[in-house]
Amino acid sequence: MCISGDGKDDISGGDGVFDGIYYNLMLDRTFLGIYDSISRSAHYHGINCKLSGSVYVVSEIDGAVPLIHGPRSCAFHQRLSPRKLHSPVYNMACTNLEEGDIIYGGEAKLRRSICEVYNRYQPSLIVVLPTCISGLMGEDVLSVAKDVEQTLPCNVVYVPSEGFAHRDRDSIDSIMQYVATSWKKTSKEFDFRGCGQVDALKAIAEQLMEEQDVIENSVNLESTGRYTYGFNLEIQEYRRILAKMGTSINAVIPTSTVEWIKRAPAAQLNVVRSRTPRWADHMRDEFGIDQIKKWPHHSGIDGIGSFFLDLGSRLGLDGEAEEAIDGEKKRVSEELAKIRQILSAYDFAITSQNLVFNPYRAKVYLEDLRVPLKYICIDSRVLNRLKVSQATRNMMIKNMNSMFEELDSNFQVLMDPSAEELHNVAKKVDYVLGEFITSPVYEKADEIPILDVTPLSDLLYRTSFGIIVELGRRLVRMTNSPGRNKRHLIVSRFDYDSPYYPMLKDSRITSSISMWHGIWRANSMRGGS
Amino acid sequence: MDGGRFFGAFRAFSGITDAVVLSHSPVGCNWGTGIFNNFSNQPDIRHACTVVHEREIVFGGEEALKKALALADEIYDRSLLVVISGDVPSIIGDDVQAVIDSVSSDEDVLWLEAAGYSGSMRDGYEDALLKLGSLMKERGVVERSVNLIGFCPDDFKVHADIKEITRIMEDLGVKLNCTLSICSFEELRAAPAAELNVVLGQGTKLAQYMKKEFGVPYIEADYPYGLEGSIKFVDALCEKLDIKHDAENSLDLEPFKRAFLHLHEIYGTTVSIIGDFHCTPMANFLEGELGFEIEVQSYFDRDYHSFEEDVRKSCTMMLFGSSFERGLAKELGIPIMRFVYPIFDQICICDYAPYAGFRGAAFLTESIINAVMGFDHKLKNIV
Repeated sequence: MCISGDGKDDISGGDGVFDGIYYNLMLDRTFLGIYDSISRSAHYHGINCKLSGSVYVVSEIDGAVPLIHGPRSCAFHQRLSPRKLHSPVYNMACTNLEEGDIIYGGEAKLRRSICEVYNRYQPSLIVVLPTCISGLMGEDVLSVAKDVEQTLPCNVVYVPSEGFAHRDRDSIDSIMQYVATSWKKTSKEFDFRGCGQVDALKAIAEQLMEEQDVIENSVNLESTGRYTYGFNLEIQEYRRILAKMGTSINAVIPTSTVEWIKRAPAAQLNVVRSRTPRWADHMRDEFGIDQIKKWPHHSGIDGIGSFFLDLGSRLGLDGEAEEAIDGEKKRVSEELAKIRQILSAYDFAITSQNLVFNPYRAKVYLEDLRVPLKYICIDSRVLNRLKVSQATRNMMIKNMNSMFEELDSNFQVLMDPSAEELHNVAKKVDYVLGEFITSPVYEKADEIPILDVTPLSDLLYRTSFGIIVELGRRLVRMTNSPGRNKRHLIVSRFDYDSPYYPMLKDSRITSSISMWHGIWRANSMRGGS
Repeated sequence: MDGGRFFGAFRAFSGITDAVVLSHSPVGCNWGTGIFNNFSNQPDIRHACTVVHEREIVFGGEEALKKALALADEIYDRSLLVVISGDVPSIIGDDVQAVIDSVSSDEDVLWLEAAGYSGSMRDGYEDALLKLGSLMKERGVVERSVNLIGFCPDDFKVHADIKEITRIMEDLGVKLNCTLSICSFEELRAAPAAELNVVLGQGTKLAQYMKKEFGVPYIEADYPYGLEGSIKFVDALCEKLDIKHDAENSLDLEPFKRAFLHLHEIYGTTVSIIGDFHCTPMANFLEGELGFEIEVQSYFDRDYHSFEEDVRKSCTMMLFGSSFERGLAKELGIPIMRFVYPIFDQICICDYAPYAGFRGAAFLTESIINAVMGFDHKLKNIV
């Protein structure tokens, strides 16, 4: 709360480059977050179809229409992609396979449907997505797609997206190993099979992109999706900093038009963020385009700076990058000066119930914002319930602690603290910073002075100096707000299933989560294993 | 724009409030049915999946089903377990009945073959209700009691609508025996105690079965939207149960009088509408009672693209349908009133704000007027 005109929290300043960030984030949080929570919580007791990942990629490409090769029931619910529940894929076509097609084959129907889709929508690209049914029927979808493409003034791409070929039970463990090793900069690529998004990006790179004359000093960025939280802010900041370095963005993949994706090979460098960037590997092999990856250690002011320096170096722009980043760091430092001074008067603890706490986040609090951090409380019980192997959990904790040791600070780490331990921590600090919207839980207990930093802490993985500045500003404003723990929130009146927060303590939910994990462990095996 | 047989079966079975629905399918079918199911009842998660994966494609899915049944037995505190067998097990030829027989001799495990390609959502719903009918037990008839058939737990406004319809029936001295399918397992079993089945839009197969097996007669009625729709519902009920009642006496025009100027102003509004069996009675209310002009009227089992094209060519000022029509409304710059499944961009958590029945007519009218008045896209150049 700000009392208008009292000037108490006037910490805005500088040249206005970082202004408006919170407003933009709150737009995303308010109008997208309301949908995201449904999809996020549904992942506790299920996962979405491989097909939906592919549909999502197609929906990011302006001028592309997905054509589901399967029964209408697949197309019915695939319109609502889990990553954009706020905006269904309205222009989606389906071959509508029925019993007769199962018996006699659906290839003729597919040919006809591709032509109908073109006549109906006049798209630049039709992406044919087979389902479980067409997969089982053994349809040669690729041949049909490529054959019909010859007759149409648009591209036709085929993506293997059969639902039964989704990721398997070991994928969570592999992802966690990947995460833990990436903290130590030792991560290797792993085969993230069965992800519809990975396969769709690869298919598009293979079947759509064309050899181009190289545009010097231009880069392609891999996007998380135009409606993902903080996407626009990150892109704006990329554009601003890259321009200062004398570089430009060629294409944002796949959040772009069909034409721009075709022209993607004109870039000199790909900036990748997915765990398995097969699309970029293909571009490297086929078009000779180098790639640079965004890692967890590219967090915080120094981390982001080193990322841009690496990027500049790959393009032979070391001097330009150094000058641009020095300027950015100076600007950030000026913005943070007063913030650091105010925050240094308090003691803080962090409590995180997120699936993975990136230890580099601690670096942001300690080195960038310079908050006196006394405790980091990490709840890892979700990993236990997800049946992440003991070896992987040990590796995660070991690597996390090793990262913490490198930080010049005396904070204490509490793994899976009990409620009593958390209360004791709260008594020893002025504020507890709550991640993952845990604040309503703690507001129930007056003695825990929780500050909800979720809207910004969730975004510390983004390549953005501005978000760090805004986090500092918000912390100052929140420490100035009186009476945050005197409320009686409706949401605080509920009982929660703690490891699966924000799921309620309800036997229907608990049983369905247990059932899911049990079946997932038992049944999701690759063919023949 | 039809969810197919699998969705229909899921929606019917998941209405048994103490049942667990096990989808014998890959993960996506379970996700899709579940995500539409929980928007307005978020803790009600009672569905699981056998996770048919590549291995099952090679070796068959019976072992996966067996494991899931055993686990469900161990984990869930439930009265009924329903297995819906989807597209993949249907093609690879899993013997679902044999698996169920091998792990359970209880009658509280039910299954239905419901490959998405083998029928419509309506087909799936009808056959699922019929399966549930097989669990019913003969009971002594409770006079002046009825079953309402045709509901799904994820219908928009369903709880409020049932409450209002129940209120209307109670005013007539008629008791609600069971709502299908939004009831407990025990209520389901006791359904034959009703004196009459009232089928609202779907569920005729079950009503026919119950008539044959238990001698429960049935009537088919439109979903009671509007004052006229409610009067028709009451009249049909009274006629069948031999109740003397003048439904006109139930009318409360006071809420409408409070907005009589707006009612005059919306007269003649040109609208289009699409839906399932809810569509016709809603269109009747809009045209017959609010005085709207229906430009295009269509149904989800017809060609959706033609509907969109017809609406584009029409003079539609307001669209009535599901959340999937929001894109068309946005494209045309007109408001949308959502009233039919699936609705995933609005919630309904109050059971006292129905769309059905006499009170629903007022609330529906209020919502329509507010949707028009709150929509200012076309006015942006005037302000």
